[in-house]
Amino acid sequence: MIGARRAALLGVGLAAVLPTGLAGADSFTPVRLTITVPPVARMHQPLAIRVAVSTDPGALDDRSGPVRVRVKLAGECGGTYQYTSGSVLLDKQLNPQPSTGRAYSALARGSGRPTAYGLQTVCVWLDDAGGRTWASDQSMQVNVSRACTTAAARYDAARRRRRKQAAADRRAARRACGAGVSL
Amino acid sequence: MMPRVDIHDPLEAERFAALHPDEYQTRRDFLQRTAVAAGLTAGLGLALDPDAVIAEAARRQREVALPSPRNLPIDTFVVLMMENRSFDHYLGWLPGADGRQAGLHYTDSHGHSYATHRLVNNYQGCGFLDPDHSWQGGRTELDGGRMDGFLRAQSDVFSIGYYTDADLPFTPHVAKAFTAFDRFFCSILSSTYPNREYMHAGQSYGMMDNSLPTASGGFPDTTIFAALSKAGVSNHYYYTDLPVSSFWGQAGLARSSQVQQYYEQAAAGTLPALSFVDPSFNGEDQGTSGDEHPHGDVRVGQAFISDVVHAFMESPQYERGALFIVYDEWGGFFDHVVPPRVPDLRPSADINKDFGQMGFRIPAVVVSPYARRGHVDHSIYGFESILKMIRYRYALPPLTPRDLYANNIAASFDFKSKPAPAPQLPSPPDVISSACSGSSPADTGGAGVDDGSVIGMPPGSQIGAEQPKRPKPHDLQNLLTSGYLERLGFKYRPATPATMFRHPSKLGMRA
Repeated sequence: MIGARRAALLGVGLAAVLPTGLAGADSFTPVRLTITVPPVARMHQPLAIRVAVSTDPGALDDRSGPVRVRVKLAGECGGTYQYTSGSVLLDKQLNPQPSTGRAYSALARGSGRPTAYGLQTVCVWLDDAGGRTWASDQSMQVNVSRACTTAAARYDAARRRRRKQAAADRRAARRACGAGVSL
Repeated sequence: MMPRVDIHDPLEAERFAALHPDEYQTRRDFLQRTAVAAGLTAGLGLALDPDAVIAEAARRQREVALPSPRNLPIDTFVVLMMENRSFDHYLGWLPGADGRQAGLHYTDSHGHSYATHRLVNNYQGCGFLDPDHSWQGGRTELDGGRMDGFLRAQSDVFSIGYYTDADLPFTPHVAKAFTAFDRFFCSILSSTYPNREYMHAGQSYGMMDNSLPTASGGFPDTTIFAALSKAGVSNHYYYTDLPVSSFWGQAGLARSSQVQQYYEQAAAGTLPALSFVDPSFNGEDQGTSGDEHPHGDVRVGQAFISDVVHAFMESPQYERGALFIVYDEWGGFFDHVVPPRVPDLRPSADINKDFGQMGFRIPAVVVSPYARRGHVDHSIYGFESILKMIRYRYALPPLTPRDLYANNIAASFDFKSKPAPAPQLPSPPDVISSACSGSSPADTGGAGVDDGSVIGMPPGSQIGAEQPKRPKPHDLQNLLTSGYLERLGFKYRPATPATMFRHPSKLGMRA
């Protein structure tokens, strides 16, 4: 029988998750992804992301190989991580890995650099080593803002100029005051 | 006992919110109320770490607060499942959706390249092959994720044809008026029976093809219907000619009625909590089937969808209802989005044995006062996502790992805004359909081959090496021809306009 062992294992896992009565024991979302990412980002600058993973007992394990959180910032999320075109924000194994029968939580962090302006979707997958998706999320968007990119670049340049000016002023003051005066 | 957590710490707050959302909300509300009472709102905001402020803003952006199951304002679910169309083939033109139509090229097994082409006045595909949508054919089309095998399966150029906004009389209008889904995959990369089994039960009982459970007289009744009945929630299945519910033997037939009863109950406001509605399957080679499966006339199916949707929108139950229009599978028609592999009762690392391999995208639309208007939802869904919403509403346990892990399609609704009144949708004009009379596509009088060139394709494009064939029998015709239905005591009556439509007089058919 196809996948009998795997089916049996899943059956055990399912039995642990399945409620016997009403919804109480079933959260309806056995694997939860909580994504934290700023709503606005700068082009070609690091965009930080955090993905918190939490599960019901028995809902996730590493029997099919290490579980990874994989995130791309893309105009369109594909059906899979591999076939989505976009900037990689995160592609990491969960640490620690989930173990059989236990509730689980972990946090993964990453960052990537947006390569296109406009509203981009944060495409999140929780995949096992066989490429099977245990949870996904395409509900969050980031505006890679031209205005923000320009303004922030202007601010960066001004800050650099100020820093340079401050250094020059300091050198001039040192020359004028000598070594004994504290600056 | 809840752990002591400082929710001002963004990391702790985030972890706590994920693990104990209700308690997190309670603590946040308490802090906010306390701050407001002390006139400290501004101060609290300033005291928070900037990271925490961003985290909170992002969290709020994401939060799709579903009402609790009991407060979900949907009491009537209707699922209408048509046949054999892919997303790009039907809705690839839809604004705001990830669709592709013109300008794609596919290579057949002889190395000849063909362009995707508009199906101009070709509503049946007579003389062309019924595109391959089998377990193996789907894998050939998927081609390890390259999505380029649509002409290397048992298909010809009909499989890379498409309809535009102007070509179909109803689906474009309903898709633009309500919420359409551009990441809705059929549940399994296989044919009609397994996909319909997943729609009813979240599994195909290990069936990879259109095999009937003849030895057992029906699959064990582990359907959403049985789960609802067990919980005391009303449900019913409405067929037009051939009842898919018979896959579950007598138990399935016991919850089945002819579709005219759906129209009557919708008008009277007595639809059950869950209704599945199926079109007429038989009569495909006569062009009279109403399910949009080649080689039936898609306009007949469009008229059927229109009737089912209008009956629903005119029902007193519309105010607290949701009707899903879906297709059982992609029908062998081209699509460009790679389907995911998901948890399943029968997974396998070998894709050739993996029941968790979802099929290609299908057109899917939800009609409801709570559906976002003119919206395209981009989340990943399958038939199990509808099962999950029904389960959520009625607090039912999961049927299988499929609906357990699926995204809940309720997340696509807008339950915060005031429900919107039903929009005006067209009723398709009269349809005069005719049988596919011969083996040449030219016999249809519509789009087809012309001196070897396919109308709607670049000059010189040749039809594939496979010669056009007579339509093969519909997948579901086996229910009838095998004697399966007869053994169950079901009395088959062919569909007629009078048994298919609300207003049959407006529809003519030519045999």
